[in-house]
Amino acid sequence: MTDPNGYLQHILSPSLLFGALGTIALLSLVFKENKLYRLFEHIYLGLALGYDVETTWTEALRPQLWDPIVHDGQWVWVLTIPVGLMFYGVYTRRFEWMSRLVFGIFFGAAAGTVFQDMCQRFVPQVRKSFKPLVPPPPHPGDIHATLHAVSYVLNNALFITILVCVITYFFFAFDIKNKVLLLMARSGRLVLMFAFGALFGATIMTRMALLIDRMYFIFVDWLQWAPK
Amino acid sequence: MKHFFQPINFHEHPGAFYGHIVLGLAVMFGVLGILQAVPRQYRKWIIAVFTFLGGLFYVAEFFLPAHSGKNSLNKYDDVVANIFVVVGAYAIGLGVISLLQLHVRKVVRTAPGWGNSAALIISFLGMTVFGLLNEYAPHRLLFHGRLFSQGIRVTNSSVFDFLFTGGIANFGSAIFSMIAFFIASAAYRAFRVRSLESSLLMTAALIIMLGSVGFGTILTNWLPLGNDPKSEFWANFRIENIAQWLLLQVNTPAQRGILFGITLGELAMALRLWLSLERGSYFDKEV
Amino acid sequence: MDRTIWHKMQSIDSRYIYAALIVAILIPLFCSKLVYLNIPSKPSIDFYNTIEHIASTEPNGLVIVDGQWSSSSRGENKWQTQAIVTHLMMRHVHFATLSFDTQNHTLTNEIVTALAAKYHYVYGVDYIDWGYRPFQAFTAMLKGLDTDIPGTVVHDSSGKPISSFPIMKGVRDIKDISAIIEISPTSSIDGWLGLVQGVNNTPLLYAPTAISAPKYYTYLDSGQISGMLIGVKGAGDYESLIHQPSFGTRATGALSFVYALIILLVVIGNIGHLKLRAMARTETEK
Repeated sequence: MTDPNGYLQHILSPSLLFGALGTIALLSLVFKENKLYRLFEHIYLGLALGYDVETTWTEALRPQLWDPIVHDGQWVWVLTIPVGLMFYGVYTRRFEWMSRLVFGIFFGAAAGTVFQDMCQRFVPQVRKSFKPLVPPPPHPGDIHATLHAVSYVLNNALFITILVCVITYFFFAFDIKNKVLLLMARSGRLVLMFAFGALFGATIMTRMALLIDRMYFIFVDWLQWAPK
Repeated sequence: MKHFFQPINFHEHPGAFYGHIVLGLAVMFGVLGILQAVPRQYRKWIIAVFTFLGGLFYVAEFFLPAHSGKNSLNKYDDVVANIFVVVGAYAIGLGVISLLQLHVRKVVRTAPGWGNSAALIISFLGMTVFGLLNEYAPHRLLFHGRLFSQGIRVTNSSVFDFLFTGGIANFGSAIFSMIAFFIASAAYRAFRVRSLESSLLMTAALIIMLGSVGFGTILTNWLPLGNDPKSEFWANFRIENIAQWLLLQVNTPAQRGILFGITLGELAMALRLWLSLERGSYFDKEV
Repeated sequence: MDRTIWHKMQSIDSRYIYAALIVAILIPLFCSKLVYLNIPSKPSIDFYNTIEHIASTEPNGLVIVDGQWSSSSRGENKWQTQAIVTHLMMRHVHFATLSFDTQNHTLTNEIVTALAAKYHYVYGVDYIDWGYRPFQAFTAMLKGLDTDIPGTVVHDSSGKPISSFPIMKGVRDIKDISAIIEISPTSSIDGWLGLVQGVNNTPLLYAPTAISAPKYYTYLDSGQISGMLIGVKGAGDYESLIHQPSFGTRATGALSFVYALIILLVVIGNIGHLKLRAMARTETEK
């Protein structure tokens, strides 16, 4: 710390100080519920909501509603105002049903894309599940050709087996009494445990990364105690 | 008819401009008035028709045969998208009103926690005002002076930066990073060898964790990387390769099985929504 | 019953765990000279190779970078965005940024603007910001991008028509897009997969938070997603591939310590649990 004044100026810089104090206050909930946490939680909610309002005007409504009407003479956009007002019918008893009209349009539009979604997202999944059990011809010069062929077939066979077992497990339409199907369902359940374990392991990475980012901010960016 | 909706130069024909707006709004509010006047028993049918029409465009656009890669409805995709952007943006007020209703009531009645509600309202107004000022007049000077023998200039832009970069960017991250502590505690308490299933869950999590960081990679770093054909076989036993294999060959088919079930459910749900067959507290509510 | 060491091993006070966690994170942050072994995973390498392929075969191609992350997931997504945009600029690939999250627009803009100054990227010529659109219009926007990009996007974030920028010359629909990069903590990639990717088999690259990643391996397997950066590890992988170490590399080191701590806690807990179970069985047999 060769420049104490510069260092003091840095750690007292408003933006950094606000962020650091807020971070410490919010993380303090981990140890005990306290008033400082509640205060900064409410401040964050207010800031986030205000920012949403500002961005919605500057990025969506101004360039696509206000500017076309005022500068380009596209008066027809004014007709969206009554449609938008229908959302606010939810606050009145008399016009509440009108809000369901406009929500219904949005639900319908999202639902209407499901056919394209099925064809483009789902059908390739089904197609690629039929994995070949015959190995491809070996690459020229491949000294482990037999090993590659065996592992190719075994991997694909395992993939198909696991997929069928998991699908069998989720088959709740009627009671499964057949011993083979019961074994497949039980195996599917065990594989699902494995998949959920992988999911949990990944969850730990995400959550830890967020905390590491906060510690980095406090000790590297703000206090500069740890090197950059 | 198409001519009626054409843009009108406001400076050249102000009368026509305002006339069209007034007429258009009158027609729209007239339609809404007619809808409001419809007997109550037909309202659910009207909602069902609007929902159906909302989805019909995209369904028809997908199924209509295409010539040279496009069909007759494709040219309206951009118009529909822009309408949805504008109408969707109007919904921002719903969140604002709901939140402010609750907190303003608390402040007015000085209910317990009213100080926090006041902080919320002040920060909401501050962010909205300075966000807009940052957009329209970012360099306008608000304060210029000296503090602790340092010259300081406060502009709209610097206040916005204080609120966004100092506030939102850090606070949002801090709130969600709290979960890390609880996850660590949960992992310690949940990962116990109680049954075959819990052991599998624990083993999977540990292998994935070990395979993704240097700590785990070091354990099998004595095995070759597999860059040449001779060492390729032994490289398969490196922990990161085992983790990748498990993710691709065990996790993937399991996730695909789940995906099949979810996607079929999504299709059923989408059809029920589109055809207004869905039941539940929202859809069964009296209109 | 007396609390034995085995009881204590499986019921450590949470506050000690929290304190140990903070220490585990701080050690590598303070010891920055420690070198961590980081081998990029195959999905990260595929992500990198796809961008390299575009840089070498489509020098004037346009890549869409869609960000849906906000401050809540900046610990992973911010560093992924930084690494990806750095790579795009290093290889002089043109890109357009788009956001469906209000905070994301400013957060991504900050990263892009800082890197543009470093790599002498010119706005409107080398990159463009299509701005923010409300998430309510997500589906409609994606459908519009399939058939008419200038008509759907209309303007950039400053309100200027996008067709007035040189970078948008010749860009009409999704067929003129070289790749789509989605950086998101949510399942918004399902929209891109279902409505956009399959129209022209445009390469789709995904940078999720680690929590979402296992679910999307199935799309990696089918080839619908060409590459994936998994969480902060993916950011660290990418930084090592482009030789630009940053937070991702530091975080991967910190993760090592954290995982070591968690594994230690799990082992301690299980030793206590298994010992008590054995003691209970012995008691029952007596």
